[in-house]
Amino acid sequence: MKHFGIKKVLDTFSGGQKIVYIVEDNEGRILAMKCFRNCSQRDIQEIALLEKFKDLSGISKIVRVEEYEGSPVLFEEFIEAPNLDAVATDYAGNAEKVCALMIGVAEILQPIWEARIVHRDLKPTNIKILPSGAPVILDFGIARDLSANESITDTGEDQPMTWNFASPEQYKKDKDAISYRTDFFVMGVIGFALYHGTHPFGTSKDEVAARFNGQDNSINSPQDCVLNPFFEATLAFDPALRPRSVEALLTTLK
Amino acid sequence: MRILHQLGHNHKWSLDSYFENRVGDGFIISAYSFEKEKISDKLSGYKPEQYLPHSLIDLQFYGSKASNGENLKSYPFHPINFKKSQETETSVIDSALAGIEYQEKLGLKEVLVPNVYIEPERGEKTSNLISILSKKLKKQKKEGISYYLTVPISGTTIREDSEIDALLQGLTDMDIVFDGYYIACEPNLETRKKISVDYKYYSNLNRVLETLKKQGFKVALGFANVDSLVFAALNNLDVVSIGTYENLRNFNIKRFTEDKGGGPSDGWYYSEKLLNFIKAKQLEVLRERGGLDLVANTDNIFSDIILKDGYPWNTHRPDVHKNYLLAIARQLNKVAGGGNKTERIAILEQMIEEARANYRSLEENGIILDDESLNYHLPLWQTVLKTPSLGVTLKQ
Repeated sequence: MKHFGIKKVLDTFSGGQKIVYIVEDNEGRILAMKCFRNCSQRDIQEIALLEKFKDLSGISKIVRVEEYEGSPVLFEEFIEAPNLDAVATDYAGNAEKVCALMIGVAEILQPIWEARIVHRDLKPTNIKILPSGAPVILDFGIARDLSANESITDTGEDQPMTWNFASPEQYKKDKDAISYRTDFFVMGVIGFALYHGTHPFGTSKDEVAARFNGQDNSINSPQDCVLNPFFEATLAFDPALRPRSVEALLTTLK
Repeated sequence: MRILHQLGHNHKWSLDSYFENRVGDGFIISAYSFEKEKISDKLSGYKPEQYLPHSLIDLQFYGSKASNGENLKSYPFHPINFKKSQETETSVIDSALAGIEYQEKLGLKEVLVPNVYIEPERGEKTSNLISILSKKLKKQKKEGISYYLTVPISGTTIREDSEIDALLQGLTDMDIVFDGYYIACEPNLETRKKISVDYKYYSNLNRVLETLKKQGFKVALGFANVDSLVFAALNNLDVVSIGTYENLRNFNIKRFTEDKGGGPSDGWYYSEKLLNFIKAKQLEVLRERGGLDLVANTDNIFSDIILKDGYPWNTHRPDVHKNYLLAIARQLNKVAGGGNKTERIAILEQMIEEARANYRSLEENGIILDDESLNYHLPLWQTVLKTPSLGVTLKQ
C-alpha cells in the first residue's frame, strides 16, 4: 500500500479473479484498487478495454495502471453509489423508470458494441445507480472483443456467465453466437426482472436451461404492459431475431 | 408481392406470357442463359427498354462451381474466368463489385449482389464474405437503388440448424447495408418427386424468410417451385419467381446446365386443383374415366388447348409451360393477396383441402395417379402451415 501511496484501506472485496480494495490515496481520492490473482489474458483484455474507452461516460474510469511484482494493478475511480441490486424495488411496476435505465445502459454501451465488444456480464451488481438515476457500468472482466482473431475460450467450453443473467447462446456454450445481441438479451432479462420482480424464464439454472433448450419462447407479461415491445424484441432465444442495431433497440423503448 | 419469370431455356415463352398474357410482373435474367451482349439487345423480339425496367439480373457466381458456363465467361468480371490459383476472397469481392457496377450502368433500380456457393460438405464455412461485401457496398451505394444480396443455400446447409443460425446472424448483423436478400435454396428432392418433402427444408427455409422479413429486409425467393405457395402464405414475401423447366423451379447446383426438361419427354400438366403435376400419359386415364374435370384448370386457355383430345404432348411445347405459369401465378396472387398471415394461411389451407378432396374423388372414380403425381406433399404442407411464428409470445 505504501508503494502506491495509499493512505488507508476502506473496504475489501475478494472475487475469483481479483481482489478489490477501496482505498484512500495520499491526495484524498477514493479509488478502487484491483489486484489480479495470476494475471490472465482476460485481465489484460479488461485493462486494455478500459484504457480504450477511458473518455466514455458511464463506465468506470481508469485513473492509472501500475505494476507490482510483475502483475498489473489497476486503479479506477470509485463510484460511491448503490448497485442496481440494492435499489431494485424502486423499479418494480415503474415502466418509465425501467425504460430510462435501459436507455441509459444502451447509450453508454453503444460505442462499445459498435466497436464489436460484448460485455457478457451485465447484471444488477455490475450497474451502479447515481443519485440522478443514471447508470454506470462496471466490470468488463469477461468482456469479449469480437474483432480479435482468437477468443480466450473455445466453443464447447464453459462460457463465463452468471446463470440468471445469461443468454441462450451462453448456456449452449456457442462461442460463435456471442455478439452485442447477447447483451441485448440480458438487458431484457434485467428489465423484466426489475419491472415484474421475477426472471422471465425460471427461478433456477436448470429451469432456465430447460426453457432455453425447448421451443417455448413465451413470457408472462400483461398485454397492456408498455415495456412489452422491449421484452418481445430482446428476449428472443434466437439472436438473429433480436434488434439488429442499437437504434432498433432504443426504438422499442421509446 | 411481385411474381418474376425466372428466364432460361425457351425464354420466349416466359416473355410472351408476361407481355401477351399479363402473367407475372417481370423477369429474373440468368447470366448462365444470356451472354452479356444479349442483355442490352432484343430478347425474343422484345426491346431492352421493354423488359429491363422490370428485370433483375442474376449473375450466378455460384454457377462457376459446377457448370461449363460459356455464357458466364462472356462477363469479364465473372469468377468463372479466374484460374483456380487466382480465386481468392479479394478477387471474388472485386468481381462482385464489378457485377454491381454493371447492373447500375444498365439503369436497374434493383441490383442483385452476386455471391458464391458454400459447400459445407467440402469443409467450406460461412465466411465473413457477407460482412466484407456489405462494408464495400456501403462506400458506393447509390441513391434510389435497392441492393439484394444473393444467398445460395445448399441442400446440406438448409438441414443444419447451426449453419442456419450462423447464416442468419451474419445476414442480420448491425453493419449490414443490403436492402434485401435473393434466396436460392436447394430443396433436396427425392427420386420420383417433383416437390420437396424434406421437412427441414421447409422449416429452415421458412425460418430464413421469416427472420429476414421480421428484421425489415425485402426478400426475393428465386428458383421457386410450387411449394412457394407455402412460403408465400407464411411470409409477406416481396418477390417470388416462377419458371418453366425444372432447373428454373428447383435450385440445384449439380444440374446447372441447360436442362431440356425434368421428366418424361411428353411433359407434365400442372393442375391447380391438385396442386401438383400430372404425367401427360396419365391424362389418357383421366379422360377415359371422366376425371378430367377434377384436374382441369379453369379460365385458362392454355389448359383448354393441352387438354383437348389428341393434343400432341411434348415438354417443348409452349402451351404446356404457359398453363403452369398462368395457373401458379394466379394461385400465388390469391394467397399473397389474401391479407394478413392468418388469412393467407387460411386461403392455402382451403386450397389444400380441396386438392385432397379431388385426389379422393379421383380414387373413387378408379383413377390412381402414380409416382410424381401422387399426393405425397399436401399433408406435409398442412403441417408446415401450422408452424408457430418465430420469436417471443406473450402469455397473460
